[in-house]
Amino acid sequence: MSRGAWNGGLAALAAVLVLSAAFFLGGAAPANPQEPNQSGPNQTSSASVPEQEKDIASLSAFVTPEDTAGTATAAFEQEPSAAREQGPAAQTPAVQPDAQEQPSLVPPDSEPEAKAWQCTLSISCATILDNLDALPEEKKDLVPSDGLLLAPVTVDLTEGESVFDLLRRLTRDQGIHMEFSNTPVYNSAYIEGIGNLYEFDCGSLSGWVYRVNGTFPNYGCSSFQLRDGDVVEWLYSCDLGKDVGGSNFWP
Amino acid sequence: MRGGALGFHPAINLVYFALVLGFTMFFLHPACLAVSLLGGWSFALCLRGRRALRLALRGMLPLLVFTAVLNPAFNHAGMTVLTYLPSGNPLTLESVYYGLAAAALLCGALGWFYCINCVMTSDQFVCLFGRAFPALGLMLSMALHLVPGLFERLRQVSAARRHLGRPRAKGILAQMREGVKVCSIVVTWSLEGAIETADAMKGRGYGLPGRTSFSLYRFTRRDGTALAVLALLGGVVAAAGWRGAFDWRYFPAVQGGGASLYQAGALLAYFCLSLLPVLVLAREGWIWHRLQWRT
Repeated sequence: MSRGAWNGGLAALAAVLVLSAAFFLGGAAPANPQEPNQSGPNQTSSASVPEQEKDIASLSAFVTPEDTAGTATAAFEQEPSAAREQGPAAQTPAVQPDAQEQPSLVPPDSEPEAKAWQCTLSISCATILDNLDALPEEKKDLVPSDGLLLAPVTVDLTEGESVFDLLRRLTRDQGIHMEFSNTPVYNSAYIEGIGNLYEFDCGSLSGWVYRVNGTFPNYGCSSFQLRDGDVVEWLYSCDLGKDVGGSNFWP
Repeated sequence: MRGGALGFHPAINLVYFALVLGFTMFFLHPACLAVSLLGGWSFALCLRGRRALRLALRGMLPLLVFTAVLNPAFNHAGMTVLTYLPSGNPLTLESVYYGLAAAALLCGALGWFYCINCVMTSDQFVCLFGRAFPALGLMLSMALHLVPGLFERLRQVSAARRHLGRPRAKGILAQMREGVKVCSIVVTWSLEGAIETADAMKGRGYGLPGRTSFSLYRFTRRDGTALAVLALLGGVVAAAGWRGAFDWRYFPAVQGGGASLYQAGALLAYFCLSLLPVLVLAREGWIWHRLQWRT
């Protein structure tokens, strides 16, 4: 009987070990096929680290400031179709891949010819002003009267910076609270709250989304590489993006 | 003196612990948490002395620190950003405060439960519920006895095996094998014991209609006085809590209701309620001391 109990215990231990190993390795493994693919255009599936860095490198090598506008629109043209294919189910507000791997920070003056790229960022929660009764009492003081947590500021861009990197840098500089979470399966970070205004604070359909040059990119903000002149807006939506003009979410 | 502790009727004990545990869980005001922590563990110290002190220092203090540290590691809400954690999320003052409050709440409640375990013996439960809810009373008494009973049996089984000539096993593998075997024996024994207890109680006609149950407890005038005091103090505290005297907000910014005379009075009532058993024990000790001096 003791041998039986011992063998049973050993088998259970082995099963636990295998499961835990699978759990931890699963985080790094390619995205689960059942999950909606939310990675960016330059990484259709399971972007491994070196591959993406190669992409960044090639982008920065080929894109000169003169033809930035052309490539930017090219990048944009890929997403609306993707958005339609995925439908509203894939649209959790603001999903942003990979916060961990910072692109290698090359000083901007490493290319002597190019002038520094610039980018504009603003953070707005104006939609809450229309839905104040849905907001908990203690959070009402957090909403500015004009809804702007951060008025549009233009800053120099570090090379290879993504929308997420820019948001993190600016919120730190300006002393604005910001919380995000990383989900290894999506290879992505997710903005949970800015300025203590969290997702679901203003109704069950509320959360943060971002818009670049008037379009809502259909993938995480970490995989969106910024280019010169990009205008980034972080918007709080109380209705899954409908109320901030995210009509491309809804076919 | 120890078993009955204060010598009150079980109903008084039950009401008292229900009151203090409820207040501990519902009032997150820092002063309330401090009062509860103080009351629970001073009562435990009076009941068990050095054993409770050892438990408090070795078990509760690390737990307190652990809980207080754990919260800011996962909770990043709050207006006051102190610094940034390696994960990239902010460490906020509010989350630190809330971690401390949660730790105090946990340790306070554990202290009161420790006292419940010392004071409320199983015969008190059977006395309380035996007539109206016989099954509930028996189940409560058996469930509360389960863990201490397991430890007692564990001790007996390992002692028996040691004296049967099985020395302390060498090597991790052999120790694990021994441990699994002892656990198997203890669990089997406990399950069998539970069935036998239930059978024995049934065999004696426990819970049959028209059957009285004997208990040592009488509701005396002293119990009536205690109930009145509990009702008064508990009513004051509960009313104050209902009207928001103990409101305290941790997120997004720490905000209290503002001190007032009313709040101070309610807090004093809560303080008295929490320290009531200690006061009663001290008074009895003093009377005993004085009587000894006279003779």
